[in-house]
Amino acid sequence: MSRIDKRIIMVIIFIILGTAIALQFRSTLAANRQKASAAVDVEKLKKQLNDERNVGKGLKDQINELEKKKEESLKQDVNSTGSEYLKKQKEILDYVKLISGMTDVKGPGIIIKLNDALLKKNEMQDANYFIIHDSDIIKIVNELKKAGAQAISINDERIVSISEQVCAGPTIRINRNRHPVPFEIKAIGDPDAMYRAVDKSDRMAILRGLKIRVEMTRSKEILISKFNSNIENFITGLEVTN
Amino acid sequence: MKLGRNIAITVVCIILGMIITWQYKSISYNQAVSSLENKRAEELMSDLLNEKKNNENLRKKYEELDQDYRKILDTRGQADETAKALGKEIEKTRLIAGLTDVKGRGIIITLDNNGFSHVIESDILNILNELKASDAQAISVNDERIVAMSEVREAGRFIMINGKQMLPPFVIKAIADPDKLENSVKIMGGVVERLGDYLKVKIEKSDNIAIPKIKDDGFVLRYNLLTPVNPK
Repeated sequence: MSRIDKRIIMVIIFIILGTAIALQFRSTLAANRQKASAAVDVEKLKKQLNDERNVGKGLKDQINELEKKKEESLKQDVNSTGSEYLKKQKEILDYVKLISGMTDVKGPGIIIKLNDALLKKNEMQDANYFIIHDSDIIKIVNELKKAGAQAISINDERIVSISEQVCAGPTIRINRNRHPVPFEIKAIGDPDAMYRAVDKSDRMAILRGLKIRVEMTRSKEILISKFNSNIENFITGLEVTN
Repeated sequence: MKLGRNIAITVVCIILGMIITWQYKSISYNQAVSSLENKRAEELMSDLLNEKKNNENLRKKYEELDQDYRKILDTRGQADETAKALGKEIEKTRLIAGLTDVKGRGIIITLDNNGFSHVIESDILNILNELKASDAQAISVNDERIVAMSEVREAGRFIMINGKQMLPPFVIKAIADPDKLENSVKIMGGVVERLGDYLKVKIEKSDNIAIPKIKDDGFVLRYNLLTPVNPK
């Protein structure tokens, strides 16, 4: 090897080294800048989300308050007139509300908690298999109905005759509202029958196989809240014929 | 002298190799971190939009409730007005409970076995769910009204709904939200097409669909275990 060859090798080596250092420097700088701006965004969004959630909570409280007032004044009204007909009508209203899911109810039942499987880092698998899908919820709810459930709610959305459960990105839409995981399905009925039905269902076996986190508890008394949306939006196309 | 140079070049090359590896790792790590942060921001953004929409619905509900309440206060002591208010609310609730015969515009889907391919529980469950999702307001399967606690059970060759055995073909009728009818038809068209791969499926639009009320024979309308709780 002549001396010139060695020089050329050295030159090439130092050129590569220089480029590498420059690249590294830039990448680190860029990453730092991006991280900082993303962190600001995340913080801001978190705060906004929190605010919005509090607004929602406040609205729900207000609605409950108003509903209670309305109920009371209606009752007073009915009682003060002393009319048998009105009393009868009020009873009918209470019955219809009870069976359609417009009343908070309590009774014996079960609570099923579902959460996505915990994925180990670096596990190169399709995450799709380890999350809960709308069809899982539909199946479980149907099993509960088969086992004679009398009232069901998912994340406090009461299941009524027109309640859907559809996948919308990472959330599931129920009663036109979106809910993320974890899901909590509550059902009032015969606790043992419902527990058996869900526990032995094919779908539950599959979910357990996929390590979806399932937790089922039987309870003597659970509380299921009423349908929280506006009924008017759901009956606009119906014309009564009898 | 020659040996010394060679050693020097070797050492420099080793260092260079290490630097390049480290560099590669560091850059891909930086990229992963920033994409993770972006994803988190995106998630938060969609959560925020959901929450805003939910709150919008709540606000609407509050306003209507407020109107009803004011009406009750205004007409206090007038028996006929109270009767009217009660009657209105009973009618409204009976509609959603499925206790009235109803008619309206909507969709009729007919589902039948195709040779050896049978209609199974999930086919019906999926159609019902998609109908609800596409804003159907009243649904029946072979004239059994679907209510809150209606189940779909496979029992041999039969499908049982509301405790009644049925055989195919299944005629599923749905009355849709009139403003969203076209959209509902489109969504259901997609579902029907998918099922059409192995079943005989037909979808048609109708301006006059009649859906009967739920038969109150104590099978689906059970409430012996429910204790009403007054709002606190």
